[in-house]
Amino acid sequence: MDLASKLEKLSLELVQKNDYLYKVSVKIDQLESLLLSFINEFNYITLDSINCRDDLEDGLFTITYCLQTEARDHIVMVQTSIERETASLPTMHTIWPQAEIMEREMHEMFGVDFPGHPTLIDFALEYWDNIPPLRRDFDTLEYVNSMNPFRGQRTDALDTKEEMKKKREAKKAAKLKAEQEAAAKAAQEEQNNPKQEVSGDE
Amino acid sequence: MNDLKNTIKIFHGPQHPGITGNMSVELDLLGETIKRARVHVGYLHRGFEKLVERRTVVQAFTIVCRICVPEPDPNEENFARAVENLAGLEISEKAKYIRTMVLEMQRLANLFLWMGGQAGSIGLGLIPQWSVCDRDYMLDLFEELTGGRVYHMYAFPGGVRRDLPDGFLDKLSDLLDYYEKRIIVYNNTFFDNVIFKKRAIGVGIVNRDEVLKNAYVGQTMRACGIKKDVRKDMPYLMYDKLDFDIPIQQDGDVYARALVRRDEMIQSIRILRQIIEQMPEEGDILQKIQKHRKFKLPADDTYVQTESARGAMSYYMAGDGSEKIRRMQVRGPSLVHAYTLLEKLLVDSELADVAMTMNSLGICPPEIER
Amino acid sequence: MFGLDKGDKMESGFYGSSLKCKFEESGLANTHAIMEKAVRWFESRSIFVVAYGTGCGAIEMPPTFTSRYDAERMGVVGVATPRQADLIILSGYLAYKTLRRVIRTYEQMQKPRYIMSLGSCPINGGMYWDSYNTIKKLDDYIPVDVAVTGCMPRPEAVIDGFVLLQERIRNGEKAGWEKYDENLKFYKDNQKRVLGGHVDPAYETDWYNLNGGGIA
Repeated sequence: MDLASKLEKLSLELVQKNDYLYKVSVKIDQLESLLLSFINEFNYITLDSINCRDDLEDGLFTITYCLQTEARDHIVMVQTSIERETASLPTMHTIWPQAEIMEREMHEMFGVDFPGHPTLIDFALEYWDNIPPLRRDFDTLEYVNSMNPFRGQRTDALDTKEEMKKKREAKKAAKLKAEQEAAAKAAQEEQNNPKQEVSGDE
Repeated sequence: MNDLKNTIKIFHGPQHPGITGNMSVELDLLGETIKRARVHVGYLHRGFEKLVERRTVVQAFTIVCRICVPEPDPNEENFARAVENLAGLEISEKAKYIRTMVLEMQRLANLFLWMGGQAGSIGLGLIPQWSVCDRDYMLDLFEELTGGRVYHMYAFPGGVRRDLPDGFLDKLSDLLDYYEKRIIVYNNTFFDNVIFKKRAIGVGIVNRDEVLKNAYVGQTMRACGIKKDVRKDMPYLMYDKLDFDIPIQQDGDVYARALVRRDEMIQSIRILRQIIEQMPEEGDILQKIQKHRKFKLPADDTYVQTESARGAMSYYMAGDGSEKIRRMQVRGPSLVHAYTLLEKLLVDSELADVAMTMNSLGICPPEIER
Repeated sequence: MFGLDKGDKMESGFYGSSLKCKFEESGLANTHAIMEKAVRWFESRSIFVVAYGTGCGAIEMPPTFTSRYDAERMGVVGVATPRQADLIILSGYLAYKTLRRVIRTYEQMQKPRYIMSLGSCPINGGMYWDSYNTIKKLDDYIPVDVAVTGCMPRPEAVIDGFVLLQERIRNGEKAGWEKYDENLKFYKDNQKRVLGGHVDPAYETDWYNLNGGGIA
């Protein structure tokens, strides 16, 4: 059965993005059965990555599972959305062992819960006590300015705006002076020229 | 848990001459046999995916190359191609040839560095002295082409930043002649070495049945007899018009992976020679983006894959109609190799083989934790 | 490149004040000065570097220590443990997790010990200035002797840093480890502030009761 026709029977739409990339959007309760049917029927047996995107304006996380065929020539992105407050997904580590580390990272960076996961401990951060850092409402600039301020300036540092202003005014003055000199020179030549013309005629 | 009854716990730790980068492996030892291994990363975490969200496309292009320290060019290529997919930019044929050339040059440089690391981990200190110096001649060419030895910032969405300088292709051709002679010398000294064969054959064998499902990529996959490569299966740039083979071996241990890498060096030289012949004289280098400071990405997402010297590297990129990048997620080849594969391979192996196995899988911590 | 204030001479000298007094009593103060100078001459020509690649700049360490830009002609060799080393090279930015390990490694090195920092990240944050996991000003946490600029510094620049460090050792200028011992409270307070209080007990100063034991 063709991929597009099978998905139409489940009332899902297959979008083709380019030669090798497809995309399918699905609801959270149909997710696991769809992934299993991708493995068993259409030979998309490899899980390449699990990606998460924070849509703060809609109050959702958009999760994408990227599956690849055994022949390595097509990729399908299976997308679903979950709530931000009670974010929880079924764990896939029994089907694909590499999902264990990917879900552990997503738990640390976004705060998504995976019931049944064996090692939901910290991955890259140590003693972190703030909200999960990759969420959109974590303000890095404010955090960084309070923890690590910049080094102070050198004592002989110049103010950029004033120096640029001085440079522009100097340039204008030089241009004005050059124009005045050119005008004076032209006026002098005109004085000389009529005398020469008169002498040429004679 | 009974296995761990009389064990000693040591940290093959961040400060160690026998690891590839800044990461640590926590080992439980019974004598010299490892009973359990746990990998710890996070010593190099910079939060790249959060840094990129505050930057426009032009600003992010300058920091993307530092995601993977020994191998910056596949990152730039992935970033450029993801932006081109989203925005619908087309690049000219000359720019495609130049980008392919840069990728193959960088693959050769990285394989020389790998050879130094692999030989140094078993105590053969001569090979790093030779191979790091040979890699330096390639870095000189990179400096002439792009301006930097290691971090190039060269592949921009829409093409490349600068044209080839005069006489560059002749210099590259001379360097490839020199490399072909050197590979024979490395073959006699390192790949046919009795000591390397005794230490490497039969160590770190990867099970062939679980390679494709668990997404082990690169030379780990090819040394088990599976002939797959992103350049042949999902071709990008000029790879569908160039003529090259994919080397494979059947055993799946450290020695087989080393032989696959040696053959890939020879194939890279073959590809570069074809590019030197076929490079077009005239052509646009860069398709200019109008008003690049206000260049908006459409509200869409895409997924791109490139073959780096250690395996397939993928990027997920999403825009939202504004100038800043909405989400960029990097999935390097080392994430699965370091956690799922290494923790399994090290059980019931010797303490002296940890460094050799890590070098052979090509584990690079900056791209595990970005 | 910048470092400490130039012209500060070490007061106690290499042998420590008690031995110097003995030399002065027996009228051999000149010999003491000559021996000091000889020891510094030898020390500057055999700097051992601990094998720790902490960041981006570790990619330019293999070219510096192998045959093309040979650093061994300066006497600079890599060793495996911090107990055998004189110098630690911090090549690039430092995440908080690495900073804890670097402080512990630095305190395990035996005196006299030096620090060299590469790149612009330890000076003022570099290109990761708005990252939630890196530090900006390394001088606040451990004393830096020589800072080499660049991103990444070329091997020739790193060798230039070695030469500057050798000159400083030979002139007997005040080094970072003296500053660390004198201002220990300042450094430890800064470390605790940025690392959230999770700093290991000071490796050496508490055990040898150098500061009344009140710091940990």
